[in-house]
Order: sequence, then C-alpha cells, then structure tokens
Amino acid sequence: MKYLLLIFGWILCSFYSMRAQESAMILEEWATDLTTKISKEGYQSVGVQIEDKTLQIYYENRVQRFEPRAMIALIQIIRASHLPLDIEQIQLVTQRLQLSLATTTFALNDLKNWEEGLITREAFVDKISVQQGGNPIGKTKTSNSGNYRLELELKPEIGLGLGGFPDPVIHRFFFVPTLNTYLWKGAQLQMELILPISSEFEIPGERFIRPGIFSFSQTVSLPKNTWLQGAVGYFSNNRYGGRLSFAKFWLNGSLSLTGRVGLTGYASYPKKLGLEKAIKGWEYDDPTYLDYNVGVNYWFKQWNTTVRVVYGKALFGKTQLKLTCLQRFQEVDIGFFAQKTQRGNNYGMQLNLPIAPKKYWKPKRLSVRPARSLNYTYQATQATVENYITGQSIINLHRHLNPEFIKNSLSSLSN
Amino acid sequence: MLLKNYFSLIFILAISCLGAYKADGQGLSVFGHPGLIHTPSAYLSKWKQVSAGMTHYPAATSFTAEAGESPERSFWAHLGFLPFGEVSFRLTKPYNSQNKNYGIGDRSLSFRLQLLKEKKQLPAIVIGTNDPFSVSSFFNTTYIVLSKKFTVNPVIIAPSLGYGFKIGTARNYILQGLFGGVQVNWKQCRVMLEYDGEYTNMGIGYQLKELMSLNFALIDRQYFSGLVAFTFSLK
Repeated sequence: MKYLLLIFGWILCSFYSMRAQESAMILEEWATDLTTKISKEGYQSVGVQIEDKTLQIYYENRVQRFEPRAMIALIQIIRASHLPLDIEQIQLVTQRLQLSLATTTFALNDLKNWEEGLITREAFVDKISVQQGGNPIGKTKTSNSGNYRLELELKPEIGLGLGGFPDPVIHRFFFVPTLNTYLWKGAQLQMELILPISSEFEIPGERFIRPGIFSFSQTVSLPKNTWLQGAVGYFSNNRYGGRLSFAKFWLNGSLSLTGRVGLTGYASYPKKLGLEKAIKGWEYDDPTYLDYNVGVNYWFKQWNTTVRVVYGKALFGKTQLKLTCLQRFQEVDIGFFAQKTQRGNNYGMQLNLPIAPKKYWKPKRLSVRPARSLNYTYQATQATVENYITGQSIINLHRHLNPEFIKNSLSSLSN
Repeated sequence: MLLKNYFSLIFILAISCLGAYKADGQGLSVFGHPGLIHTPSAYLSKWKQVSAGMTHYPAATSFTAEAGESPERSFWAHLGFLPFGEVSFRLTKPYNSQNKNYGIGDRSLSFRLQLLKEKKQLPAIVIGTNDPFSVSSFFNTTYIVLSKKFTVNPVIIAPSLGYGFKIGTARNYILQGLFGGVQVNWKQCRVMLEYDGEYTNMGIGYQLKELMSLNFALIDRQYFSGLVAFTFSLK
C-alpha cells in the first residue's frame, strides 16, 4: 500500500511538472513570436520576458519620429497578439543606447476594456503609470540589435543674420549628413560632414566642405536616477577635446540638476575646395580651455513646459546666466530665453519643428533617414556667447521621454 | 474724399456683419495681441492658439518711419504660450523701405502675463511689456491693464483701462500714461472706441468663426488702419 501511494505521488508530481514545463514552453514560444512581430515592425533591441504575471517588453525605437507614437504602435501590436491568460499587466521599457529610460505600465484588463470600448482612451491613459528609468533587461535574449549598424541622418541647418543695404537679411543653408553608430550599451560614435549649399555670411571657412562633429560618447546610468556622460573628439564650433556631463533627476524626472565641464582647444580643418590647393593646413591650439556650467530644470506637467536656469562659463572667457522657458506642443517646441552675459543682455526665441515623415524605413545594416527636427534660434541683440556641442547630451537622450509628457501625449495623440 | 471711402467701406462691412451670433470675441489689437485698436485688453488668447496676420499703419501716425513719410505694415505672430501668458513677435517696415536703407525692419517681441482672471466682481488684470531690453525699439512700453465684461443683451460691453510707463531707454515709446477704451461686441462684430495716450481712435472688427479676424480703424479719427489675421491651434 505504501509503495502504491509513493508511485501514485510520483506520477502526480511528474504530471504537474510536465504541465508546468509545457506551459513554460508555450509562454516562451509566445514570447519569441511576439519578439519577432515587434522586430519586424522595425523596433530594435527587442526583448520580451514574463515575470510574475507581468509581460515586460524592452525596445528601442528608431522607426517612428515621435516616441509616444511608437508606444501606441507597440500597444497595437500587443493588442493584435493573443495574450496568455495568466498575464495581468504589461510593461513597456523604452530604451535608447540600450539604456532603460522610461517604464510604462498598464493592466491587461484596462487594455481589454479600452479595446472593447468600455473605457475611453483618456480613461485608459489615466490608469497608465509611467516611471523614469527602468530595470535592465537581464539575461533575456534580445532580437534585432541596433548595435554596429550605420544610421545616416540627413540634417538641414539654417541660419539668418542681419545684412546691409540692399539685402537686409542674409542667410546660410548647410546640408549636414551625419553618420551614427551605436557600439555597445551607452556608446555612440558620430561623424558629420558639413556641405555648404548657400551662404551669404562673409566667413571664408564656411564656404568649404569640412568635417563637423566627430565624437565618441559613453553614457552610464548610475543608481538613483543619476547619469554620467563622457565625450571626446572633434566638436562643433571648431573645438576638440573632451567633456564630462552629469544629470540627477528627482520627482520622477520633473526636477533635474545638470552640470558639465569641458577641456577643449581650437582646431580648424584645411580650407580646401575641390581640386584647389589647400589654402592652409590644420590650425589648432592646445586643449587647455576649461568651460563649465550647472543648471536646474523643472518640468511643469500641466503645461508640458520646462523652465531651465543655467549658469556657467562659455567659450572665449564669457560667463552666462540663462533662463529658458520652453513648451512642448507634441513634437513642436517653442521656447523663449533671456540671458545675461558680459557682453550685455540678450533675449529671443527658439523653435524646434518636426521634419516629415512621421515614420521611417525599418533600420537595416545601413539606414537613411532625415533628421527628426529642424532647430532655429532667434537672438534679439548682438550680445551672444559661443558654445559648442558634442553631438550627444543626457537631456537629449531623455527627450520626449519625460513620464508626464508621455502620459499627456498618449492621451492626445490620434491613432 | 478718401475718408468718405473709408467710412463707406466700414459701413458696408458693418451691414455685412448682421449674420451669425458669436458674442464672446475679444478681438486683436493692431499689434497682434488681444486688445482694441492700439490699446491692449486684459484678456488672453486661448492656450496653444496661434494667430498670424498683417497690419497696415497710416503714414501720419506711423511708428518706425518719420511721421508722414510713409505708411507701414507689420507682419506678426501671436501665441497663447501658457494659460496665463502669451507672446507676440512683429516685423514692421515702411512701404517705401525699398528706396531707403531700413534693413530688415523693426523686430519686436511682446510678453503679457495675466495676474488675475476676470471674476464676477473683479476685472481681469494683465501686465505686458514690449521690447523690454532693446534700446532701438519703436514700440517700447510696459503697462498694466484691467478689463471687465458686462452683458447687456444682446450686446457685451467690455471696457479696459490701463497705465503705461517707460522702462529703460528706447527710440520711441507707445501707450504712455493713462489709456483705455471700450468695445461693444454684437454677434460677430465689435465696435471700438479708445484713447491710446496720444490719439483717440475708433474702429470695427469682424470675426469669422475662430479662423479669421478683420479690423478696420480710424486712428486719430481720420487715418485708416487695418488688420487681417488667421488663427489656428497647436495640439
């Protein structure tokens, strides 16, 4: 009798263990299938894992121009797939450079209610929770990696200035093809070539084809929403050297403290046009110039507006205190600034307009796409200060990924 | 003779306004922000609303050209930047600027902040400034203005009263001292009478839904000024 009971127990255990294995295999197959579906839509570094009845989807978007729109498209893919019964909630972990920047969580029931028209999209979005950052993906295999691929971004640059009689407005128009390569977690290589299409500015160096930014940057996510970024290379404004930046976020990304310190020197490329002999060779000085700044940003969620105060030392020994108020109307940014410098006060406005199309070709080994936006800054007076950019910044990395902005955008975007 | 034509035009327009009813129109001043003719009101555009348009100024009361030298025009854009603040950008140039070195024209930025929304017993209050830092401004002023609406069926009467003062140095100042006016809205039309600190002006306006505005005015009760504006909303 004792043996019979033991045998029966063993059979029962085996049966349940097989059922569990079968169920795990089905889930794994389903996760692989979903990963393939998402990858086929062009999303990169896609990873799907199921933990404690939570479906976690890691992804990088380089196929949609606007990040919240990419999320909506992703939710639609999930809606179209037959979700296993034991999943209760879904987490979308938005990544850039394989760094988790935002985690959007919603209950499957709420998604179903929205799907069946029982609740409106606004009500569904209201129940969504968006948190800054996210857990790393762990050991789950990712599909369609974005690393070691080339992304060619076609970027227009315009500038306007005051001219003399009879041409009161002078302009410049450059075409700047930019090659981006994502190397490993947080690492990016960027190379720009500046092609002058037309320029009325009397700056001889601007009439020549020349290199733009050629930089390597490494971004690291530290505990407690702290970010560190180092960049070395040839930057804008004829500067070369290195720069170290940091950012610390509080209040779920609404408040941040930023800072940076750079050590650079001047370097300009030979001014050579076509087959003409170079006018002169490389011109450079030692990278000993120290620039720095610290800033505080606050995001007002009810107005999608950020207010930023920055104080620091720019190029050519000029200090700068700048106040910027910028509002994000979906993809259009309109901002105003006032600054106090040693050359006097200045104020003006800045615009950031999206460039068509909304959706790009699915990224391949080499992908080509236009720049996401066109920037223009209007300065009211001549009291300007010179700065340089390295090609990547922590604030830009988080662009359109403020948790409150994501929520506001999800509820107002059309399908 | 010319003046007669203006009045005929205004009369024809007023007659044409006897159409649909929409009495809450606040209207835009010739500078592009909410107001009467030259004077601002203490109401704001809707948040995220953009208006863009063109204004014609008569030669005799021109701002950037020497008086009587040439009429001028402004191209402007106005944005309801926040629920309690708005901003305008203007480019003003005389018509005869082809012959003279006026450059690109006068560029001007205005900011307005609503301190108090209109309540049952209290008026709306706005402070505003034009070209706060520019020494070469032709439109420099900083002002405070109060407005209150009264409904006397079938019209809405909205008087405004303000005071403008100088901050900093500029080439020309507008709206200095006490200014004010009254506008009467009826259907899609409005009739305005104001004192801008220098001249007494009168005018009428017509609003086509929320899409287009037309204003016609007589500055100093004799010189024709006009505005056409288009409005849309950023999402």
